[in-house]
Amino acid sequence: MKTSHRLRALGVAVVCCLFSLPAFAADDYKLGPDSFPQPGVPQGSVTKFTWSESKIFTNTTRDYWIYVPQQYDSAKPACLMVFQDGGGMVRTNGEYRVPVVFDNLIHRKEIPVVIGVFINPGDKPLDPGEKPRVRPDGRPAGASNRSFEYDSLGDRYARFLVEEIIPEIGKKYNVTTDPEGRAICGNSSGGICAFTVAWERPDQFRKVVSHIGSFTNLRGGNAYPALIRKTERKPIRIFLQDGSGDLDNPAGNWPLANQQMATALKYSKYDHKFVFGDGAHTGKHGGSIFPDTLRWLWRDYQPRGQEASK
Amino acid sequence: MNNSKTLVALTAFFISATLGYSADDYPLGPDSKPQDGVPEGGVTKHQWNSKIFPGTVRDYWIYVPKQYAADKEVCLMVFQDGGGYANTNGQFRVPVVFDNLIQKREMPVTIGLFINPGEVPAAEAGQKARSNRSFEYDSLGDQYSRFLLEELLPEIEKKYRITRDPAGRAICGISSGAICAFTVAWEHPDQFSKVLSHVGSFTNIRGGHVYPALIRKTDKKPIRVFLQDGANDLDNLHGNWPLSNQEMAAAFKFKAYDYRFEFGDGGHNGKHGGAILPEALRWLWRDYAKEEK
Repeated sequence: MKTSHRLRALGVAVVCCLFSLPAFAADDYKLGPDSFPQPGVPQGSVTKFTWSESKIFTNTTRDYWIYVPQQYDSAKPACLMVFQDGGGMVRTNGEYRVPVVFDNLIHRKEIPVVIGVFINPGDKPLDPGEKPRVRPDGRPAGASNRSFEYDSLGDRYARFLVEEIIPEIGKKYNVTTDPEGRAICGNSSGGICAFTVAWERPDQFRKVVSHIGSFTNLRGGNAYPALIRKTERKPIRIFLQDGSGDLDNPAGNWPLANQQMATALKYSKYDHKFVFGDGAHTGKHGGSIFPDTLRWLWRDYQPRGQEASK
Repeated sequence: MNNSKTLVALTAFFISATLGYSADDYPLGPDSKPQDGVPEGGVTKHQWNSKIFPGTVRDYWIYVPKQYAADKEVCLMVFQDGGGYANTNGQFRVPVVFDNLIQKREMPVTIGLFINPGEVPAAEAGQKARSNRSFEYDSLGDQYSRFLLEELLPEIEKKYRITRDPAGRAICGISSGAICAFTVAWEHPDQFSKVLSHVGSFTNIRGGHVYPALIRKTDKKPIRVFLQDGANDLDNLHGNWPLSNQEMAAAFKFKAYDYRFEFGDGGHNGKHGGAILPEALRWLWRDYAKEEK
């Protein structure tokens, strides 16, 4: 074949390749069947509580929710998974629908029996007679202590969980003390918060899920990739999700910051998985893959003391 | 790009892939080779004992173009790891490129200052000299810029008339020398406002990974920056070079800096930077040569 013919043939082949790609829109992530209630699957219960007694974040109040699966048996320690911005994650018509996903995966034994704790960030209590605070556009105001609690490095939020919330849960439920049986998850600033908890207290939490994590300079969290490379490896398993359409603002570039996290975790040989899509700063992608994420996170979990009996 | 151009580009890509295209394959062009009829500048070698970096000694070279006239102030461009940049058989061949571009008026009449990093000579026979390179280049802060402004430039200015206009003063480096060049302009935009960075170490060798965050949260400085890096640059204890350079570029973009980022497929070397050096210099000096007083 002459060169010009070969060129033309190649061109045709290229065009065919291009047009055979499926029509695809950015951030087009759908929920799968594991995120919807399925017939015959027992449903866990979700109960709402309020915590206003924090001594670590003084003068705050917050709601939290506890999910308890039907399979829970008080004679056996259950696993624990903590969610930041809990109100969004616990909604069964939201982007994550965690209680529904838990029901389905626990029923199929794809994850262990897990108690879910969904915690909102702290807010300043309303003064007597004060109306609920709103933004200038009339929507409800965000929790005033969120960035301080989630974006700060250090062990303060971890101590809030370990010294305040988990003992409170322990009054009602038998929760494992095995850090391999304890996971923590969040979106955005809640994502870096989840990582910080495990980074500070790998003796308490060893499984992390970060969606569109804010590993940026909101309050210094851009330091993590460098710290991960120059710190002895910690026994943490990390799932990271981000998308090329994520934020770029004064605090940093989210897609690059998450890639920096992933390459640092790879360099220091962490047990990690990085899923990078084309989504924005939302939970759509993280929500659509959440069942797979949980399967990956809990894939080899064996309750303590049961390894030998297997 | 219209469809037929896209098709041609894609086709060319597939053919080059088929014919065995290799990464980091950047040859030098004619502007990096001596050309007939182009006057050659002179390069002289010198040595300096520093007080700001006490105990160090280093070589440096001065390139003076043929077009230099003592009655006119000229521009200045400083190169870190100067021995490599001044080498006319090396990856950059700066004196040759300067000769060609100054002759074509694609950059102004510029004196080149090529400085090696300091060395602390061996104290006794049988010992080795200690390199001060990482301390001088990778450290943040103004120590290296003070070394330039208080020690070396006054020495050069004894012999040559150099402009005080920061737009007429550029600084360039490779790897740690590149973050050093940026640091000089960042600390002293009143003195240097043009930066050329090749495979820059904007990583945590000594804390330089903070620059993208600093750039985003600091008022924009009047600095023009050309950044080059490649997909196969380093990934080590200090960081990931390709991502760090992408973060620098994204920060410059966010703050609307006058910058250009060339990201290729090269490794941690000067091949890509050398191949595009004439183009980088044209871009860096694009409006200065025209405005020349």
